[in-house]
Amino acid sequence: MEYNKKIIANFELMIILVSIFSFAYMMGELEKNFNEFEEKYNEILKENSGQSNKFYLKNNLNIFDQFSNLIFEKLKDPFIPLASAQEVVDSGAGCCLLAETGEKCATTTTDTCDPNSPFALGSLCTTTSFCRKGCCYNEDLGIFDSNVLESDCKETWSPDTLCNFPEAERGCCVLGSKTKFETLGQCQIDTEVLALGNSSVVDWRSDLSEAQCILFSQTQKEGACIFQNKECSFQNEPSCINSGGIFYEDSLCTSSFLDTRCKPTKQTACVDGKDGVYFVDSCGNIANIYDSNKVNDLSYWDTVIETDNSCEADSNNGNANSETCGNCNRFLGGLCSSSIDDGFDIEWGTNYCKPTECVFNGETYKNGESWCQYDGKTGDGDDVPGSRHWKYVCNQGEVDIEPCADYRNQICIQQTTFDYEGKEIEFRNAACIANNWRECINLNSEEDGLERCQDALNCQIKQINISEHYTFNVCSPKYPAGFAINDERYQDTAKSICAIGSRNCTVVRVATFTGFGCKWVANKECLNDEFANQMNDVCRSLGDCGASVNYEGIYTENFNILRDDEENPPELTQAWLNHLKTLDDEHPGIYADVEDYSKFLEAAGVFGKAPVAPTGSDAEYPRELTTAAVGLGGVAMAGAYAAVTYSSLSLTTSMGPLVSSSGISAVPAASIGAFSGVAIGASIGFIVGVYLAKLTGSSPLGVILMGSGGALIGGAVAYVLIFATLTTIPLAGWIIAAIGAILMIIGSLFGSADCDPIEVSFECKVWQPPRGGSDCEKCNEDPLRPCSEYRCSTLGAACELINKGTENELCVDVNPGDVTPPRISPNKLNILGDQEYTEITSSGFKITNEGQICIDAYDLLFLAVKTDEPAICKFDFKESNYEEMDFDFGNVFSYNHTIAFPLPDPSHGESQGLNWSGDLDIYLKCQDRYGNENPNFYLVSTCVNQGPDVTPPVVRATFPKSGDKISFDSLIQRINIITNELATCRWDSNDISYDLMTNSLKCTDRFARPSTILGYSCSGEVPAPNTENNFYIRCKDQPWLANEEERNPMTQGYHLLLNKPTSKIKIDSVSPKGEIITQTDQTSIELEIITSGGGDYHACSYSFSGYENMIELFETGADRIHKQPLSLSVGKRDLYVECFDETGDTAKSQTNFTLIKDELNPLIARIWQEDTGELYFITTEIAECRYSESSCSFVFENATLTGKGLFHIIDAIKGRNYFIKCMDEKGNVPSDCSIEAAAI
Amino acid sequence: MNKEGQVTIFIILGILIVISIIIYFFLYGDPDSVNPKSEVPENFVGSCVEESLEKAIRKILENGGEISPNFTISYRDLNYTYLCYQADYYQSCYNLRPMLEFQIEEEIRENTITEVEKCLEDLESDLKSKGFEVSSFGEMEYEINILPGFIEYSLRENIIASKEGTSQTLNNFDGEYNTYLHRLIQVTRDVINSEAQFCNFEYNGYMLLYPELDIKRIDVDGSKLYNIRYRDSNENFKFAVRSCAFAPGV
Repeated sequence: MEYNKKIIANFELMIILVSIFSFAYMMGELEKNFNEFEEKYNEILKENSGQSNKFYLKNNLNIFDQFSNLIFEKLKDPFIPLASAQEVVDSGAGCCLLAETGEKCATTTTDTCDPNSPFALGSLCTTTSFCRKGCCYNEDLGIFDSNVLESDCKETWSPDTLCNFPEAERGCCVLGSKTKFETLGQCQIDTEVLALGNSSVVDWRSDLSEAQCILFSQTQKEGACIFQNKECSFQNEPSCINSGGIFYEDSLCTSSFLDTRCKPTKQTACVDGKDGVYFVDSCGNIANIYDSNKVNDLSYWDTVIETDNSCEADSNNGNANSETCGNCNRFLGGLCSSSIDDGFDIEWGTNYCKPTECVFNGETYKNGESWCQYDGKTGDGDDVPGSRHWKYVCNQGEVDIEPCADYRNQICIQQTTFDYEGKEIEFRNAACIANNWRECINLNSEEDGLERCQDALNCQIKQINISEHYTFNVCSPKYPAGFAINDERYQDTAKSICAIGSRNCTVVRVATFTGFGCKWVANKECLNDEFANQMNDVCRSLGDCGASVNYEGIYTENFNILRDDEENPPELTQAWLNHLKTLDDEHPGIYADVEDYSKFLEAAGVFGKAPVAPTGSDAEYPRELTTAAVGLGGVAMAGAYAAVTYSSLSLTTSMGPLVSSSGISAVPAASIGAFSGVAIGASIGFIVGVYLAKLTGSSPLGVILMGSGGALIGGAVAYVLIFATLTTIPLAGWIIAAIGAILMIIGSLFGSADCDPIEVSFECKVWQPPRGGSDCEKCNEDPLRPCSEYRCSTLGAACELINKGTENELCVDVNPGDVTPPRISPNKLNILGDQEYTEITSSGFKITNEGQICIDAYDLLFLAVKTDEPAICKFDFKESNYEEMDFDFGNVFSYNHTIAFPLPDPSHGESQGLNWSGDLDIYLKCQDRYGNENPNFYLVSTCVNQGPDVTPPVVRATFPKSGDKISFDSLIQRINIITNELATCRWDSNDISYDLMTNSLKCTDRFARPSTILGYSCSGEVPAPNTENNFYIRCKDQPWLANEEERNPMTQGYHLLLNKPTSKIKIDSVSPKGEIITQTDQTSIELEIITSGGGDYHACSYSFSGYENMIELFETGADRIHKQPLSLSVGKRDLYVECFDETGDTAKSQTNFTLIKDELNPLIARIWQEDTGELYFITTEIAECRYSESSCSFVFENATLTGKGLFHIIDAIKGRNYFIKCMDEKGNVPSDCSIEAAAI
Repeated sequence: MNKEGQVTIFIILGILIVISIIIYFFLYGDPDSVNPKSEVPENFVGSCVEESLEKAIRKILENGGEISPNFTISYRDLNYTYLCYQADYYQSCYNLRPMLEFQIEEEIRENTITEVEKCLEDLESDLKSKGFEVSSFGEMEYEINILPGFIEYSLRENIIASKEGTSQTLNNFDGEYNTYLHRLIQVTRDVINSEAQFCNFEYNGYMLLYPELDIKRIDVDGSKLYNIRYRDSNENFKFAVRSCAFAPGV
């Protein structure tokens, strides 16, 4: 069991360590991947809605209703600030050995670091020499302390943080009748103090485990030790002999035949290390187990009676609460305790078997059993805000509660049985273990994330299955984390995590055949309430996000569903709402899963079975979307094709009788050419008709009618041209022409309905507690489940934990009766560039550019306000209620509210058919924690400078950045550039004019729909054959203009330099390798990987199970030497190593090594005695031998030396015994004697 | 004899007993003055030192091995001293008090040395008040040694007490003070080493193996507060650890 505990503990550590890296990686990758995803998604959307640009640019809506919608979609994307090493340097932070707060090795600034303490600017403490951890030890005393700074150690210090020394190994120290599991050094001290003084022998047994050691104390043969004057002491034989007594095994001091001065009593006592209640004699020695029936039975005081043969040995509750028998058993339910303290009425003496089992909720738990309790449902992403996992422990009859880490950073898992030597033992055991939720979130941004999600610990795949074409998977935690919603340091991250659940669904529809109404093509189900149910389910599972109840069952809704057609969006069904409201209820029998850690442990080198091949495909999400796009496009095209084909067929069939009735037979001599002329005329007429139909937006039926009408008219016109003049047109011709005209007129009446796609967006927001603080006190009501800052914050927006750290720590409503709304004012500190806030009044302000009235188009508009109390602010571009406002600054209470977005050139908008002059009013309202909102709008006005546009576009960013290193192997590099306005871009290796550049980049963004927060994106591939690859990029704005002259090209190229490393990253060496001899079961080794070549930043990972499950090294970085301390058990290991650099290049290496424990003690090959009396002996290996003349139990270092080497001599005296021990050069020494010899 | 006579005799006897007691105390003063402390100087010093040790050990137990801790976390009005701390998230803690017993021995020594000196001064004063000529020479030697089951203190100072031509040299005031501090320190070491290596200490299993211990842990703001109680002596050693702390929701 202990071993398992170690494994679990090890696992927890590894989880934590891995989480650091995976999360750091996630932070870096998240934004990038989301942008890539957006790019794909936009392409798909374009295909879906390609037939009508009006979808994006409706005339009947304010441009900002649409444009801002899109911008804010971008702003909602995860954007987690990643503190790079450079940023750490820039911020002045570094590693401080001793901070002013008393913290050791903390990341601080120089201001907060003790002036006399070393400080390493820009360094992580793990990489600084002065914060290196090690083992501080005193070998003589057997004290070994892990994770100690060298500067703190006043004894011996070693860099082996885990203290895996032979001397640190623990064994069983036998101290008279007691045992202690400790190091040899500690045993020597204890023997000296607890046993029999300086001359006592040390009995330390390395071959006993901790549990065996405890049991050993109970099997020690004890007996009466008789001294002079009839003194007697009950102890074991060695102690007795050492103290000069005569030992009588299994006899009690009260034994009648020993005739000591010790007499039986009716007193009892508890004995250290033993469970039972024992009689004590008049000398204070313990006797047999307390048995009220034997209190006057003198024979019971003669010899030792084993507990198995004592009273009620077969009791199934360990004789708990027995008044007559003290044969307690701690595992079965009884343990010796004071009857006086507990008020228990016992027949004799003052002790009894105290019950150690516990009763909780009607169920009985054995001593030491532990179990999990939850605040509501757990697992499946259903843990509600404020809830916590609790571990309950039965501790000698009392139920103790251990809260797992708050914010659900730990989960409570429970198993009811465990294996012991092939037997299944029923014993409930719970543990708070690290919640691996970060990894689940991280996997969403990894290429094969969804595949790995299936097997990742504590992760689950949440499937969204709204419709055939709106199906995707998200990797979410089974136990979502809680967020520190009121701590501004963590609000951005919380927003970013929730934003993973924000998605759009495009509902595609086309006009019906007649044009009267639309028919659904795809994703109609996104308009149903089931969309809200499923999307919120994913949203909730990511963390404290979306609509949910808190742990007290109070519901708040924290998502926003918008339809761009402004119809009523889907909402949660009542049934689902009711389901959500039950999640805070107890769900008996539902526990967090005990998952399979073996793969992870195997990779970490602990143990485990072979990894299971991952199943499923992560790429399904984009692939499914791609399929959906193709499908939708296909459906649309098929519809159009069918309409045209049908009209063609109709034309053909209708032509027959017409031609026939027009008298072909009457004109038998008509030439094929003339007939062809009529046919051509009809065809032209058909095309014209169809074109007119399209132009007027007719339905398919209208197209058919107008096409047919056009064909008739065209045929008639052709007939006239070939056969007659207007005056000679036969009546039939007029009739045909008239019919044609009528058909066209009728056709024009079948106009097509407005069947633009409908965009349904689901915004997953950070969960917020109910406004006010009426429920705060509920947090203080359960003393067994104490309140915490997190729990308090989820009961009400106005709840705060006061008197922290004191006895009166309470969750209270901080300002009851607050009816004052927050006061809004501009926050000039949060604006950048040349923008100014002018005309500031209490009701608003104006944003201008320095020296101008309006701001320049495509510059970022910084909207920054602050409030005098924490508030959630919302805004819109039209006047509306607070609840109905479409945009917010993030659904969190804060003082500062800032958002930035670019505004397009009004002239561009107008040229695109938009009705916008460039004037903009932004209506703001804020709501405080009590729900008090501003009665009037806070108005922010601005305007954008209108054309004519004479400014060329600006390249805002590139990926990779200029100067970045790219893969050594790459001959072609994909680049992505971001421009401030919609443009087309080209590149060349020389900085020539745009028009002369021949290499175009693909720019898929559309006006008012930039794919990144920085602007519009263009991408393409460039050749990269050299170490230095120079490119120049130029762009030209307003691609919609037909007249190239009106467009503005860049006059200077944007220089992009892409470097390649001079060589590819390479692993030069990996150590350890070969055989490593060790003397301990666990050995500290240092994994060291040396890399060269490649880019500037190298990082490595390792695994003992293969390349599938790699664990990143903790100590890695810009250095080329990567180290990781490991603690491994003996055995052969295959080590897989992989390193990579910032270019994405990787290098792999594999090695193996074997840890061999040298367990062979030196043997004595031969021993003899010379006539002179000396004893000679030869050892099998070079060894140091010492001897004692009393017994084999002696302290090796204190005994008499015989020499060091193979050959040893003892100047022996006839008749004496020599107890000899030998120790080899590796420190192996037997606990017993190497040999016993008697001199003759 | 009638009942009234008996009552009278008992009353008279009672009065005589009370008067006897009063006379006794009047003649011989209080018990202390009858048996001056200095009659057995080692006992006098011993009880004085132990009193001082008791106070120091109480503080040591309350403050995680320090007399005046300065790096603590407060929970329910109680300060828990950090013995193992890591400021950053997710990383295991640094052992701030390696060789804890040595540090505690030094803390106890420093905290009690003034009082111990006072104990010796009191002894000298007491002896002087009894008519002894008292002289002392050499430096006072005072050491603390925490051992299993007790604290051994070694107190040496040469004091010569002379009276009426005879003199006696007092120099050994060594003694022991019963406490399970040594055991509590050993358990604390197990906790810290485990927290430093594995970010956790499995105290439930530990208590099963060692039922004489009652270990409670409270998780507060990323820190773990440990209370380790030796059930028999009711001595409670409390301290805090911050190891592998989780960031809230990031």
